[in-house]
Amino acid sequence: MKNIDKIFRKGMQDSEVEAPEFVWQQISDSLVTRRHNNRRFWLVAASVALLVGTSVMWLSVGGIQQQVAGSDSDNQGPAVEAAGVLEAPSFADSAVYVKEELELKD
Amino acid sequence: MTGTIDWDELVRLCKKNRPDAQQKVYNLLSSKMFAVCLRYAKDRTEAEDILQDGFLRVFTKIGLFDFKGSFEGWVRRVVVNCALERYRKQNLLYSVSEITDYDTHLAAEDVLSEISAGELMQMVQGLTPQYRMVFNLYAIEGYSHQEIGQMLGISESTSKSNLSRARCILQEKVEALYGQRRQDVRLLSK
Repeated sequence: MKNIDKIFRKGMQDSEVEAPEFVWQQISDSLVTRRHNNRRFWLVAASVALLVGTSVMWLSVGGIQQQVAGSDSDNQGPAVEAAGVLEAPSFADSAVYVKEELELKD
Repeated sequence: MTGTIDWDELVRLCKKNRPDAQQKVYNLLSSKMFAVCLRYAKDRTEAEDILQDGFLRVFTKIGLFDFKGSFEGWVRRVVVNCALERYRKQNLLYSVSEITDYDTHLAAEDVLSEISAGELMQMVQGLTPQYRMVFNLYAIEGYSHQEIGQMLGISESTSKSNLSRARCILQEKVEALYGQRRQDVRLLSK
C-alpha cells in the first residue's frame, strides 16, 4: 500500500462525526409515513378483498338459488304435462258423454 | 461501547419495524456513518442527504440482512452504495490524464500527529467527484480496480489513473500542510 493511502486510511477509517439532529427527525418522519402508507395499503387491500369475497359469495348464493329454482321448475314441467295428459281424456270423455246424451235423446 | 450491545436482538426488533430499536441503531452508528458520508460527499449538506438516504434504506431493506457478517459492515456497504448511486445519477465524468505514480516520503505516524482527521476529510472532499470516489473505494474501503470499474461504469485503467491523480493531489496538500505545521512548530520553539 502506498504511504499516502496509509495516511488517509489510518487518519479517517475509524473517525466519527456527530450528525445533526434534524437528520434523524427526517428519517423518523419518513419511516412513520411509510408505516402509515403500509397500513393504509393493507386496509384498502383487505377492504377490496372483503368486497370481492362478499360479491363472489352473494353471486354464488344467488346462482345456487337460481339453480334450485330452475331445477324445481324442471321438476314441475313433467308434472304439469302429466296433468295436461290426464285432463285431456276427461275433456274427450265429456265430449263422448254429450254425444251419448244426444243419441239417447234421439 | 458497541461490545455490550446485542446486535442480533436489535436487528430482529428493527425487522419488526420497532421505532425504539431503529432509533437505537441510528444513535449507535450515525457518527461513524456520517464520517463515511463526508468522505464521499463534496460538502456537509450532501453528506447529510447521503446519511438520510442510507439509513432509510437500512431500515426498509433490513429484511435482507441475513446475520452473516457484522451488521455495522452491512450498514456501511448500504451507505457507500447510496453515495455511489448519487454519484451515478449526477453522472459526473471528468477527463482523465495519464500521470506518473509517485509517493510521499512522509511517514503516516508523523503526518497524523500533525494533521487531524477533519483536515484529511476536507482534502478528500476537495477532490473532483470521480477522483474522490475512486480514492475512497480503493484506499479506504479496499476494493480492487476491477470492482471499482464495475461500480462506477468506468474501465480498470481509468480507475487506476484516477487513483494516481487523486494521490498526487492529496500528497501535495498533505505535504504543504505538514510542512507548514512543522515550520510553525520550529518558529514556536525558537
